[in-house]
Amino acid sequence: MAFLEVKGLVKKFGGLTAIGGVDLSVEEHEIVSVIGPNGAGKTTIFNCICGLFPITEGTIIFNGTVLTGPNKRPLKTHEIAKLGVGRTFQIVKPLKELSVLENVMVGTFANTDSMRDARHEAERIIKWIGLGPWKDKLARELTLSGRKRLEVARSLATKPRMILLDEVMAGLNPTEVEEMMDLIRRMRDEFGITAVCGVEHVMRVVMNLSTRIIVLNYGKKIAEGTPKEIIDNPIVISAYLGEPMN
Amino acid sequence: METFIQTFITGILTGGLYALIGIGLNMVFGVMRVVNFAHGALVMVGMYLTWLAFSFLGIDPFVSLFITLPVMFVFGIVLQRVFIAPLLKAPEFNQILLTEGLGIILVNVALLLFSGNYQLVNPSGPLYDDVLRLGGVVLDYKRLVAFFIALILTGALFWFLSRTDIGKSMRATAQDREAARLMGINVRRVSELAMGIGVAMAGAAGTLLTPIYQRVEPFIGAPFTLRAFVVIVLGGLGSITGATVGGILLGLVEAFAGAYNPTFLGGAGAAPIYGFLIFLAVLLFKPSGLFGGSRL
Amino acid sequence: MAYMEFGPAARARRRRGYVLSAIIVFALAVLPIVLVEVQGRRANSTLALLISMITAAGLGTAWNILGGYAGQLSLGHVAFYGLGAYASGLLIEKLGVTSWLGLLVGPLIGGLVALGIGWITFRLRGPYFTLSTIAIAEIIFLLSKTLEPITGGSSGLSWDLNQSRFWPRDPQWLFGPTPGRVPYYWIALAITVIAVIISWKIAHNKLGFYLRAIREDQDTAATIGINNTRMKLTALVISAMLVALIGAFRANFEGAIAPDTVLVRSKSLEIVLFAIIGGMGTVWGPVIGGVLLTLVGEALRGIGEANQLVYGVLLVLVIFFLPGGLLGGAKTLLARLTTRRANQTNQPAALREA
Repeated sequence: MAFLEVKGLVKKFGGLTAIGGVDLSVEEHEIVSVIGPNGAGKTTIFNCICGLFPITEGTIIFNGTVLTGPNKRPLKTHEIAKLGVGRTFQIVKPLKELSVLENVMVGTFANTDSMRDARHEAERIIKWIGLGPWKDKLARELTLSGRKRLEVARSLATKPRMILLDEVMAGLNPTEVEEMMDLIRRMRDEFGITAVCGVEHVMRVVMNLSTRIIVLNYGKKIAEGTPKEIIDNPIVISAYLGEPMN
Repeated sequence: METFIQTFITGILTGGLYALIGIGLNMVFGVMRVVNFAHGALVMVGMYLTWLAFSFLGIDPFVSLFITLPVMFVFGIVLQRVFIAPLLKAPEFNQILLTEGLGIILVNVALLLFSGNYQLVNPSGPLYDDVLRLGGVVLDYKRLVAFFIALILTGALFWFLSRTDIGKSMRATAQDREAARLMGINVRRVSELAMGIGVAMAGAAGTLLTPIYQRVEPFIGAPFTLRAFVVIVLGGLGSITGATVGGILLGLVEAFAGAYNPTFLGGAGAAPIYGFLIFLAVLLFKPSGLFGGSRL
Repeated sequence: MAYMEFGPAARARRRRGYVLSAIIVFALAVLPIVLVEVQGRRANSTLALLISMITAAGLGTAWNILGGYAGQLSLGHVAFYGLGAYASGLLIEKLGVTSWLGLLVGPLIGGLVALGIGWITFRLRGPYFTLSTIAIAEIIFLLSKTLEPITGGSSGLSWDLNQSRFWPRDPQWLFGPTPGRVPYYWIALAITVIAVIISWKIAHNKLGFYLRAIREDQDTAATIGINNTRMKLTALVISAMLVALIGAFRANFEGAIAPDTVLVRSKSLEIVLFAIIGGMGTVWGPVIGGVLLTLVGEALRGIGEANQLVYGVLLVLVIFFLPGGLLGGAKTLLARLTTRRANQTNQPAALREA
């Protein structure tokens, strides 16, 4: 069984089928990119995995624990977070009126009750991720790149085994994208964190970072494979990429 | 048996007016997602307008609808422009408190202007004095007339929202504000219109209720705010049909609770409790209302 | 300026704060004795006003734990106040036990009811939560009027401590021979000091952090492992118990309770105003708000009905111009004036910590 196993996931909103039966699996220590045009269902799948959306059909298993499935009470979001699933959001949601340090502390409190420990751990992470100079600044004073990194830091603070990164590169300039990619690699190499990235069109990420790519369109998986396989896959090209990449 | 029918019909007649109040709130809450805690106070304003027209201009309450509707409509737009629009992006928390504050201001201004004493509105004439007798059931004509006028207003609004372009724009804005804006809908104007209509409906309900209550005082609007929300929750947000049914349902519940006085809860005074209990129950078990529909 | 500050400079500042607070509390404790010396008999009415100010500060502080920290707007908090008050009244009227026991029983009942209410309402978000608190408070209010045999109906209950079969009959027992209202003042002061300390502890510990996260965005909070419902319930229960405690105290102070004074909807709003006008989400804001608003209310008493109008206008003004309340406004002003200097002192401290 894979680290993350999604089987037959269906998600309907009233009459609208957002996800129409998707299977995907992620092995530990992989960096998987889930790509697809806007509206393909990436964010919806992420929300289903971390428990923000109840699913219509299917089973989701993480690290051997059933998160949601037939005949089982679906786990609540915070329970799933405690199991080691981290999440960042497409539209960053820092806790605006708190400082960077306090934001990350909210994360570190997941593993301790002590103010001192929470703070020291948070400072460690802030330093590691390069937000040191902004430690005492209010979250809303950060640039977009800073906020994205703060989101990752906050998630990292909970000591996850896997992080779902939803469009974490969107809106960043090429340098910032490189930094973020580097960050994701370091998270895997130094902390063993598995990353699942939802990406719409930052191809650099898709090609250079991912070990495997899953392509979605209209709520269904249309292709899966290594970056090389995906570029050459005609279905993907016609549905999404438009023309062959070089 | 006769008590049953009597209660049943009274419940429906009152419920129709509750529905009107709820629909007014639906416009404000549905289109702008603003939680209007001043809604009951607006009903009170409508009632005072009716009393003023009656006492100083000698105009029949039902006729004064022609005054109340436009005046409240304009008042609604003014409220929207001055108070609500600036806070559309503010946290819901602040919106609730703002409208609550507005409600308090309205009530206390009325208190200052007209004192806390009851103002009598006792028009005479067959419409107001006579009753209809069917078997052992006695119905006031004024309640019947009020109910039907409410129905007409509701129907007119329904037609407006489903058949006219502006109405459809309003529904689009209620569904997705950003998308509506991107489609070229003047969201600001639609919001003002929605507010105007919502307030006008509240005022109209006040006018229709005046001859039934026959007395107007500043705090008379207080129970209507919560009732309006109960109606919306029962009927589901965004649904006029739902609000109508919800209103009638609430009217029935209150009528029966009042008539059959379950003594274990202490008698007639406890009647409103049933409405609240149903409200809580619906919120717990079927938050999208008995008719499903929009988001919670 | 961030909510909390860390590092030696901040710690020193905080220590100074503790000392200052202790001095203030001491001064406040001594105040009534001074007043009695100076004013003699007339001290009683001054004391009554001071007691009102102190309980207002306590109420605002208690509400703020749920409303300011966690961002859950309860407009039905008077229910807990009334429950505490009725606990006291019923103890002596129905059981012949001293109404002072209400100070224990009231918070217990308040806490239990809060658990029940929280279980019902915390599945609901935003306006629906607020509406539920209103509905529940209204239900309790109406029941207090209709369940006449138990609650004394609309006229409520009034009693004389001499009815109590068990001591203590009045606070003189605890404090020895002190004149009139002074013991009540001390009890009120103690209660409010406890409330403020609890509020402070929450704000500076894990619960406070979690509540603030919940206030910002509950979904995000959940993805960081925060059990929203449990946290909100905790805040509500603490808040309810404190409010019930104050309600129980007030009942003892007045010796009489009635639905229209201890369960009326306008009191819920009053409590909210204490916190909001003073500064929601801060430790001292509600204290300031409670004290100031009580003074304003007292000053306006002569004008009669205008009281509520001022509340309404204040509410609208604060929402529009000063959402952080008086304290928030003062902080912003201070921050703007001292930002540069604060940054410079903080930097070296931060680097040393890292």
